[in-house]
Amino acid sequence: MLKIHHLTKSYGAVKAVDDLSLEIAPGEIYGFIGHNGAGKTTTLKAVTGILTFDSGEIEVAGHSIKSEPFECKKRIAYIPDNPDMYEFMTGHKYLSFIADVFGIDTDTRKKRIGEYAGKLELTGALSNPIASYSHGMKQKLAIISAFLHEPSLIVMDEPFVGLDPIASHTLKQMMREKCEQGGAIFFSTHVLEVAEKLCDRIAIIRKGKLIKSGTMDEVRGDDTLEEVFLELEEKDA
Amino acid sequence: MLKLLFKKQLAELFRGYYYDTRKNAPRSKAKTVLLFALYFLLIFGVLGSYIGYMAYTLAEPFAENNVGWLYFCLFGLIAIVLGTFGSAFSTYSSLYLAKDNELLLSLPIKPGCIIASRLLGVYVIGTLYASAALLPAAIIYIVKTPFRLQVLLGSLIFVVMITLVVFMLSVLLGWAVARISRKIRNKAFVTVIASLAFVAVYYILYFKAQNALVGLLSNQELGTQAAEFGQKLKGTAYAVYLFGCVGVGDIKAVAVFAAAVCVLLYLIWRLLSRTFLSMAASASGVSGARRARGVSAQGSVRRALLKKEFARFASSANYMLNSGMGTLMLTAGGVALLIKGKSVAAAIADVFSFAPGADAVLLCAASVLLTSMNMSCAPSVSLEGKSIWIPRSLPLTGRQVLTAKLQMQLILTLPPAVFAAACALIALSPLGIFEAAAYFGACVSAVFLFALMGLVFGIKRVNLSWTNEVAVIKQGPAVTFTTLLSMLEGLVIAGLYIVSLLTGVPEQPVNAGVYLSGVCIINLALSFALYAWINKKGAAMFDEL
Repeated sequence: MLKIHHLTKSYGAVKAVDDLSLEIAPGEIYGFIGHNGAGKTTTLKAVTGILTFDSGEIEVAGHSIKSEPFECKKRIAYIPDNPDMYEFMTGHKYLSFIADVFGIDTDTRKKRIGEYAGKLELTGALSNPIASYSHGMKQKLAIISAFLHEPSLIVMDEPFVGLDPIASHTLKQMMREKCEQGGAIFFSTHVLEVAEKLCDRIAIIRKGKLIKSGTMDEVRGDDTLEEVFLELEEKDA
Repeated sequence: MLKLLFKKQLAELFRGYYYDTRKNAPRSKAKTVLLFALYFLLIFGVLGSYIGYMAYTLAEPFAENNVGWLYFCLFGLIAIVLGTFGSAFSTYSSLYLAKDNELLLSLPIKPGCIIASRLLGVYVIGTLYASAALLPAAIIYIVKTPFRLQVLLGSLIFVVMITLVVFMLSVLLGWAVARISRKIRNKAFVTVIASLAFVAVYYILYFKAQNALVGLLSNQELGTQAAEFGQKLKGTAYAVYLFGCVGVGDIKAVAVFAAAVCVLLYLIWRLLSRTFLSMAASASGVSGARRARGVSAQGSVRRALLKKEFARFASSANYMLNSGMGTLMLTAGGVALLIKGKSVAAAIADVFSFAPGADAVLLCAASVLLTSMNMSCAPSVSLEGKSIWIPRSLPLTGRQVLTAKLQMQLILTLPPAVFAAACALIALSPLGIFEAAAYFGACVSAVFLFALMGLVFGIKRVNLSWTNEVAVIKQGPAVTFTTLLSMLEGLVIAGLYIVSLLTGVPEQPVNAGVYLSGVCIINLALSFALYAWINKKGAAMFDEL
């Protein structure tokens, strides 16, 4: 579903991502773990075509994000860590805008919005301007808009931040359902417990370099993910 | 702390001038200086030269007849209207809608400091506009009349006092809009209507004052007339007399007005500091916000993007007022031409009797100037702000997004421009088919040129990290340059034509149809070049923002 080959991205003299390679298969929830400034957001933004990169290649379902960004973006959804949305729109208008961009017909969009908004308990607020939403509500709206066009790959940057426990639980269920339907999820998180319980595979990144990746059992062994993460951080420091 | 916050405020206001957000790097000193020079050229060059001309004509006769105070009164009032008009639209959002209000209020900073820094920002903008009118008048008076230290000091104090009066009026207007906005449903439209009412009153007063001034200037006994008028005014409105006396250094007047300004400043400060916290908190709230019915029916991508642009436009009074006034003015201009067009055309034809078609050229220049008031394209790219991730992560091309921005300006401008052109053609009849087509082509091609030019500047001078939308809608370099160049086109159309008439062979004046065809061809050629740039380079630049 997603192939990243030797991705390198620099900001001036600082290498944010350094020769990073990983692959995500359909049906996988792939966790991306690292300290602040490790290069997680840069990688996620490069995958979604928001950021250009210096070298390497990113393919989504066989399409290159460099040469076929349009084809890739049709198959991707992105949820940023801080969803700055069109505050001048209402929730309904925003979702209708996204639905129009993806060419979703009227009946289907109504059905899906009703379903996802019901699950995330946002139905009543969709008529209000986004400017009135709390961080968590914006996050819920971003989640609905991401699931709306049934993408093959959903890229999420810290998706659980700002969500209440019920919404977090619902999102985890939605992520699992998505993967059971053949989709894939690539998400970053600082909450190691979440990664441990939810992910099929994980990658740990430090200073732009991938330092460990694999299935949960391969990475963790007999330890907890937290112990492994801290050990790797200390070793590499 | 105040200094720190004020520096932040200024940095925000003028960020586009010294920081290239596209390259994410500071501009070179030379570029910054050049951009600032262009900004001041626009404000002081356009406004200052007009005011300067009036001042040059009035200074001596007023001083000789001992009514210097009336001179200062006149220009003081012009400066107040101009300064308040220039900053009033942005005061409300500067004070109450700044996105960092909550952040600053959460920090260990006294609210008074936050208010003061915001107020200083308002003062700077008001002062810029007021000074454009007042400084040339004060300088010309000092230069053209016998030197007296008292007048020099008085005029300096007068300038400072006027800037403070402008500041107080702007702040009170911003406060009033904020108060009204708390209780209404559609804040943006109510603000627009209130502001337009203010503009209407302003124009009525302005034209009445201008007519009176033209009458005064055309009078041979200007000084004597002014002295008589001054005597009457002094008898009926002593406060106005005292106000003008500040400019000529009358110590009593200076003392009285300085005390009045101080008291008013204190009262305004008290009013604002008492209400700021609750009003800033409620301004970002949603009480009474309009509710949407539900999910919209399916539409095309093009329509979705266009609807999004219009939703953005309609959500902000600042955006509508600063970028959409041309729609109103062109329509009003068209109606005015239907009513009084024949007499306007006849008056122009009377002055330029040796040049048939001069009325068409000058009305075309006026139409172009009104068209230049629409510039939604220029700030539209920057207005994407931190939401830029949305179009960038969706399957949309930069070209599609930019086309929607372009279409919005064309939809806003083209119908009223066509209407105004049609009205002008009725007023100007009988024109030959060629002249009529050339007139129409010149007016309409300017609509395309200005929209494309705004978009090019919008992409090249993008600023996505603003905390107050006024920074890109009103003060951004993209808006300033678009305004400057599009206004310049209107002035050049009229200016070049008049110069050609004055310097050419009187028996063979420039043919208006040919001249306007030339304007049309140049506009279209430039438009095609800009359109090609946007499609290739501009779209690519947007994709990399």
